[in-house]
Amino acid sequence: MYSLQNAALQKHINLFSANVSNKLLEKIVKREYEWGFHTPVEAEKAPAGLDENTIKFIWRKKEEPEFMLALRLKAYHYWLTMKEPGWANIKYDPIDYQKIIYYSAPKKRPGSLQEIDPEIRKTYEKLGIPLKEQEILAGVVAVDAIFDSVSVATTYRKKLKDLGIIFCSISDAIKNHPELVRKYLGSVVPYTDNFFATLNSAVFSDGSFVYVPKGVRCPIELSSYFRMNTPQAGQFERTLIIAEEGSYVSYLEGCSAPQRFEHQLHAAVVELIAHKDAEIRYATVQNWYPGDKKGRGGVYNFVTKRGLCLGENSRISWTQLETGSAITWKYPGCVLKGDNSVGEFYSLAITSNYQQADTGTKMIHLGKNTKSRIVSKSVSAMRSNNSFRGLVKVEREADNSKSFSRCDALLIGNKCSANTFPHFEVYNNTAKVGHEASTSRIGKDIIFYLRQRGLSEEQAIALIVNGFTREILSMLPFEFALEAKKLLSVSLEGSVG
Amino acid sequence: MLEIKNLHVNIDGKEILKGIDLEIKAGETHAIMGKNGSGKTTLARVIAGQKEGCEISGQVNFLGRNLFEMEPEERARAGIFLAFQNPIEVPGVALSSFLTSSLNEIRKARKELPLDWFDFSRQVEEKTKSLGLKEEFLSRGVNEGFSGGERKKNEIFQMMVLQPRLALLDEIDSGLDIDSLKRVAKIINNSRKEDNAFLMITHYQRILNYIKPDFVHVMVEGRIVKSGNSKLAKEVEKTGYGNFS
Amino acid sequence: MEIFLKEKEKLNYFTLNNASTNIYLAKESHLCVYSFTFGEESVKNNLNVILEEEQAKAELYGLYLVSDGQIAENNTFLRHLAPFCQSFQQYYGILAGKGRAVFNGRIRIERKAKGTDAYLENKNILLSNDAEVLGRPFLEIFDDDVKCTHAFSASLLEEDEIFYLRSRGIDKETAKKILLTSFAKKIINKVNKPSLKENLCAKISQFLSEKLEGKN
Repeated sequence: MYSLQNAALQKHINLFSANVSNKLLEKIVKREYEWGFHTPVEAEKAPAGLDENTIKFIWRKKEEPEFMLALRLKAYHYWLTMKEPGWANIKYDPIDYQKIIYYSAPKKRPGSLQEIDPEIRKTYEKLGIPLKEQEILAGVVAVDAIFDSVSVATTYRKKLKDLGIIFCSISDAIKNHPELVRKYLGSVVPYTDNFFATLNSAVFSDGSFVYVPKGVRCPIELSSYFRMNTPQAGQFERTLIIAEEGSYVSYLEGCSAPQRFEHQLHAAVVELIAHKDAEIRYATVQNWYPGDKKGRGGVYNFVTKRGLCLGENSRISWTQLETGSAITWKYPGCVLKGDNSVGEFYSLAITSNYQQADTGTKMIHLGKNTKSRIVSKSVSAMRSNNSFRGLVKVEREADNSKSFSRCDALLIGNKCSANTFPHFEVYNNTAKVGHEASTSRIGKDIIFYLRQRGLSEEQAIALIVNGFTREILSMLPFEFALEAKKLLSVSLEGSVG
Repeated sequence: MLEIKNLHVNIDGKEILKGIDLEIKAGETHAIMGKNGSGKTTLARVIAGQKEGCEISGQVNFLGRNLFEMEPEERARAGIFLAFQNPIEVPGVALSSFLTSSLNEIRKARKELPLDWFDFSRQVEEKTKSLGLKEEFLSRGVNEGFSGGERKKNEIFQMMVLQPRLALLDEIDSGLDIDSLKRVAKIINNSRKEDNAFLMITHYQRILNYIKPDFVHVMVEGRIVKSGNSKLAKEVEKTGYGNFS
Repeated sequence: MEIFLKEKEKLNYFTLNNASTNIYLAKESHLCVYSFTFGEESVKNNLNVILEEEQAKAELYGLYLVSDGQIAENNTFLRHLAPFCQSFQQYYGILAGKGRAVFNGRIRIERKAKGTDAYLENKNILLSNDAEVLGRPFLEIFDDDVKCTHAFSASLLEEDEIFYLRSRGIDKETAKKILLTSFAKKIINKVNKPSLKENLCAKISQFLSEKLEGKN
């Protein structure tokens, strides 16, 4: 009866269970990772392993100027002196850094969109990512697709160029705008910052570069997609976004990776700089291969993301939606240096099976009247573990700062867990710091109540999760809200049909 | 409409219902009276679809269909409504969106077109007024922060919107002050039609003064020990349940 | 220091400063623990409460007033091992001068602890810009059938409240004293013995008189 009519819904249903009946487990389609395919393309690879020669190989292949080699080698040597951090609330198999391939690029380098390897184009079409020079969705989206280590194309470059906006791959930026790169690269996340950031500084292959000049409001959503294709290739992208005085830019990063059994490493660095009166919005919709039901495979995701609110009245907001990923370790944060600057963090993390997520944010208040707002929501199901780690630090000079954080965890079933580890360091008494955290669950009694009102078990769960996640989803740029919802499979409108 | 034959229910090994026979025809209002622990709520929940931890035997037919072959939501879509004794909170889920989905599922089953926001809001407006509920409670989480009495009113509100064929009202009077009780009774009385039926579960006689049942059954320790008309309710009030074993 | 509560036993306990205390609760027992620190030398209190059996209840109340050169460190660890237990923690602090406070409040709800109801609140009022507070309210939850909430805050006295009292003819210093006293009283009122309450109120008065003098 209704199960037939809901076939479409079932196809999208995500992997929640545990507290629900066996019948549901049969009915629910444990969504096979839809994007788990592999593109057979000739790739040019560096031999596995990391030593000085690997660095030189990368530098040469990318035809970078001298200063980049010096930078990379400095980072590499520093990395050799460092120890991998082991304190996160996460268990993972040790990473063998000599087994990873640090550079992989499709052999043919395209000059224009038409020249892109058809296999690659097909891959992106499968992913639903447009590589066409035409209006996309309601708004207009400029896409810079990165296939393994190399930017495949950047659309709309001309239009943006007229406004003085630079949106290109970081490799291009190093060649064409070296003075900007030299000025800002490493200014927010220095190469000494942490183990993975240092590694990234040595071997980063590509990423996005955005520069918005004074007073310009970027009229379109800028977007990038990353994809890891070659087995054993780590992905080390580096993104740098600079917003000059009075400018505005909104950027979306979306990722996916194919099914694999060995773990893949993703160690990225993102730096945002907002000058006086500028605003940067950075959103991430991440759909990593979650590891199979036994917890094998999956992606190691170690990312350092930091925004510097340099000028007065500047504003940086991080919005992230994550599902999957075997191990996640990300701490997007803001350094609120300019007076009156504002840092925001909105996060939704969904874990299931054996996934582990350790996420959080850092807000450092340096300037006066600075504000930070943290809203973190997590949904844990099956045997997954979701930890939130927040640091709010109000330094002595940060008069009248305000910080508010809210962490909510939704637990489904009794084999999952959720942890909250907030840290507060308040060194200024005119500051106002507040924090609340709570947990809730989808219990059998709630499900029964909703079923007695005519909703099926799937619909009931969808309804609750939707209510829980709505606040975060509404923060995503409109153009991507649809994709986000599809990812979550919790669209109320869809379930009622 | 509802036919129960020799219903036995064990919960966690303990026998709660020991052979219930009951028939409710369309247009009728029945009342079941019994002490706490007599099994009244279990009866209502099993009809609504509770299976967790229960061993159920016997036969229950609803509108000619075997109820035990139907999932809880299928029973709801067929027209069964249970006003819970202890309605729970569903925080974060707005009552309006939940009820719209619910209503549209039921309408779909009845081969009616789904309602959109406007129609829903219009229908709902007068209903909220008649219960003395404020508009804003629609946008709040279901039962979020509601007192016991408010939750009961919310159950009746949902019943008015969903218009069931068979409404099982489990202790609808508990937690309500006299004014609210009168309002609720008025609504229920106005809803009584030829093609629907009501089963009221209570252990106080009081509500039966306002909603006069056609049939009254006394339940003791999992069995219906006596059935009669509304006069039976007064008898129970006078002599207590002890006399009915 | 180890304390074991027997089944259905009730205990009101005042911790000593600089002590490490482990308290184990048996079925249906009820514990009220109080930790008071009033402008003394630096203090470090470790309090571990383990709810071992069903339907045990633990209430933890702490009040710390610190001033120059003093550090009040309160570490609580609430472990829920059994179902249907309740824990309720309220730790309030008033920091004057160069006083410092550290609060580490850890709640861990194990898998078998269904129906847990846990609450933690740590509120700090900083009276001067030299005061510092470090708060770490940690939550570790391994079962979904739980109700768990925690809150942390650090701030000044509310300007609105001060203004309200002043508009009723009360001078600034007295207004502050009144507000701080009523803040502290929220904890003191949880103590059952009237004589003890008076004693504590007197200590608070004394602290506030000394510390608020000449401060803005």
